[in-house]
Amino acid sequence: MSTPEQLGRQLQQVALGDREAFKQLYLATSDKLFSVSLHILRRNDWAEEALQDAFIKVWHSASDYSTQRGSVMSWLISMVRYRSIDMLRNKGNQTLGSDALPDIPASEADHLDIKLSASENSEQLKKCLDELQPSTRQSIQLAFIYGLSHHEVSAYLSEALGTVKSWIRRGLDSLKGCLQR
Amino acid sequence: MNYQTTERQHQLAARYVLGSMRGQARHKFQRLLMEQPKLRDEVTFWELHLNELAAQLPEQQAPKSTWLTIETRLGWRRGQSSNPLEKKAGNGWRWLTGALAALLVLVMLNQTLLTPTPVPEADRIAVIQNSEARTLWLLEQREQLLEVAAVGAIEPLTNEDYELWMLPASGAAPISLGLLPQQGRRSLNVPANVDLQTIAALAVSREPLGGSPLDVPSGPVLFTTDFITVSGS
Repeated sequence: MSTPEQLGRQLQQVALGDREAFKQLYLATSDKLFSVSLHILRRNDWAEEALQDAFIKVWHSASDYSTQRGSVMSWLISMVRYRSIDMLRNKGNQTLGSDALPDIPASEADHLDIKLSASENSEQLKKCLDELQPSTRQSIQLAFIYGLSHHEVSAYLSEALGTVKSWIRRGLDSLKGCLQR
Repeated sequence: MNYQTTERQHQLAARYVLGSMRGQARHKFQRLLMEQPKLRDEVTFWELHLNELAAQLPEQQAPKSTWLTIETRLGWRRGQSSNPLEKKAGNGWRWLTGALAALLVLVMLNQTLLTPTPVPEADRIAVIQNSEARTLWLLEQREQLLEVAAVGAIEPLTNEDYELWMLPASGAAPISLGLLPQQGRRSLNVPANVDLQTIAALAVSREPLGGSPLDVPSGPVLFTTDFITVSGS
């Protein structure tokens, strides 16, 4: 596993057009990023396509990265997540229909409390998530990790849509207040 | 929609990063991000924190073909278009990419799995793809032997099988070449009286477990393809 500093150096080299550094960056991060995409898209071929699209964008826009945007890994995660969310809409509507519920293994959905590692940001996030009501925390995690829409979270938890919207809105407000403390 | 108030910006940025903002609203917001630094800062705030959740997900091995396809799409592999065209080329391009990636995988398979004992090089290969140009199976023909590798994106069947057929150039009835694996590799021995050189096309049908009860496909033909000659033989 590459350190954040190694990823930073690799991305700097990528911005200069270094193909070998690009490959090393891919090898160091692709398994994690594939997992991120697969959780949202739930199809191997779509997740693979999202990963390809994201890395091609990385190659062309590596110079846009700055440390103010967070770690390199966080920047890459955003690239892959946003591409996956766009694909979820485009392809999901074609094949699943807007009412189709994703198939989330019960064992995963019931234990969404991801074990956060010991970085400063993750310690803070864990503390703040713990302060939320369990249903609110679960709604936010279902939306973020699995890319569920408000409708899908509502159906998944068998709660009214308005309730779920309210949970998520208030939960994000509380989360921001806590994270800024 | 008013994007100016701090409270509104905070909510929209949170919804954007969370992923619950969809469709046109999402695209409009992406344009605004380029124009409004404060909105960008709000998004960065949420990315900094929430991406920690994604960073903790267990790793899942990305398919080997992904990197090859990225290189191909960037025009770093021979015979492929370079970047300015790659987003505009459409399905034809996708087919080429799939076929090239498949060829590269076959080369790797030849180099790794098949080298301990000398074997003749493949006479011909075939790539079976779905309607989205996703490669499902790779076939190598060596005389009367077909080496089949399932390479992904195959819709799993529980009580049925995929069956491979050759369609003779003479227009005669299809001839079964055997059942395709849904995972891994399988060798199919083609009977000596079946001449693979006179083939017009290959087809895959969905059949009851064990294959078609008839001499011809009994289920729907799902995919068709053709052989590509890869050696001088």
